[in-house]
Amino acid sequence: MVKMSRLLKKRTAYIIIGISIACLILGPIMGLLFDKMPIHDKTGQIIQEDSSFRITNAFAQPVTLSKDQKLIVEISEFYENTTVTIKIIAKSLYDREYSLNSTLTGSIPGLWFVYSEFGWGASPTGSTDDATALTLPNDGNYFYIEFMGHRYQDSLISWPGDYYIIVYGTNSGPASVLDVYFDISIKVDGPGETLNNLLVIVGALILVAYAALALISILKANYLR
Amino acid sequence: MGTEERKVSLYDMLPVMNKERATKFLIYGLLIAIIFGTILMISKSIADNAGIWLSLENQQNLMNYMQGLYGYNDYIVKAEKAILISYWMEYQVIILGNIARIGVNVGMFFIAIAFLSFALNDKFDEKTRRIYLVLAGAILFVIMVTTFFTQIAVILT
Repeated sequence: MVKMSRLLKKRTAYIIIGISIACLILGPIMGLLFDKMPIHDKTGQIIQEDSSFRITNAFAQPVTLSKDQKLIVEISEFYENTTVTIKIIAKSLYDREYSLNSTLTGSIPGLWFVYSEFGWGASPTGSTDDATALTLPNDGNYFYIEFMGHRYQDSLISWPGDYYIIVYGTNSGPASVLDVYFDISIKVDGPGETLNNLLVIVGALILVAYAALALISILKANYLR
Repeated sequence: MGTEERKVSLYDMLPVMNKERATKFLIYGLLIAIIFGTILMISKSIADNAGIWLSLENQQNLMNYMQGLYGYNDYIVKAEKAILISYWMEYQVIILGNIARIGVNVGMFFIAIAFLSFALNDKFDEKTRRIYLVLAGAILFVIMVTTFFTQIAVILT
């Protein structure tokens, strides 16, 4: 009869193999769940018309980017009579303009970002462009913006730091209608990929180590005494 | 004067093993050789098909971009990562292949020892023992050839 070590007992085997399979399954799931961390997601976000000349009334979302972390903003505007402009600026600049209660929202210089216009059969390089500000619906109704601090042509360069996404707009309807609507979703890169790699590697290592140890213990228990 | 218990090493057990132990050696040797051989073949298949996997991944990446699932910079990162993975798929055969080669040789060594034990076992008749000896020799020859050269190949022209 083949002698068995404690390592090969049914319960121990189930626990070890169970942990490794759990890691292998959880890796991709966690990777997918934490791939992007939503910061702000709202359909029908409202700002006032005076936001275009008063920064204190503009939509402003602070974001902190670490090294190689990317900001993704999806903005769309399909509402009647409204026009909105999106910019990404440094926190220091926003703070200064805010404290001064600046009336020059429109003339604040935005930082460079990259945006994509998706289309079937279109080359990704051909459907990607860069800008410092986008006005909807004049430039388009929907934009997928990627930002990391700086860019070289259509590729992003990581400049970690604190930033503000600001959106201001106007309503060309009746004078009494002051509301400006738009849809916005803001996300940043999460730890999904790191978690995925870590869990998959740990799971695979446990499985390989267990198989090797089990083989050695069988040989040791039966022959190599 | 007390008796001293001598530790029996693997060397002492070889090659004069009884039939049961030799059969165990044969079965475990076969098992080890089959497992490592299968690992080698799977690894080789993954390496051979790295190119087609890369094409598939690139097309999927492009279609995901066109659908707007992610932007241009994610598209570039995913494309670069797919190339890196395809290189790893080709390279892993070097690591796994060498580990598997050691495994197969160990397995074959066990089989050779088993056949050698059969050949030295006087409970078998002379003819059968001779066959076992030839088999052990043939396996040892294969081990030596695969150790010192890359492989044994039969080339038909």
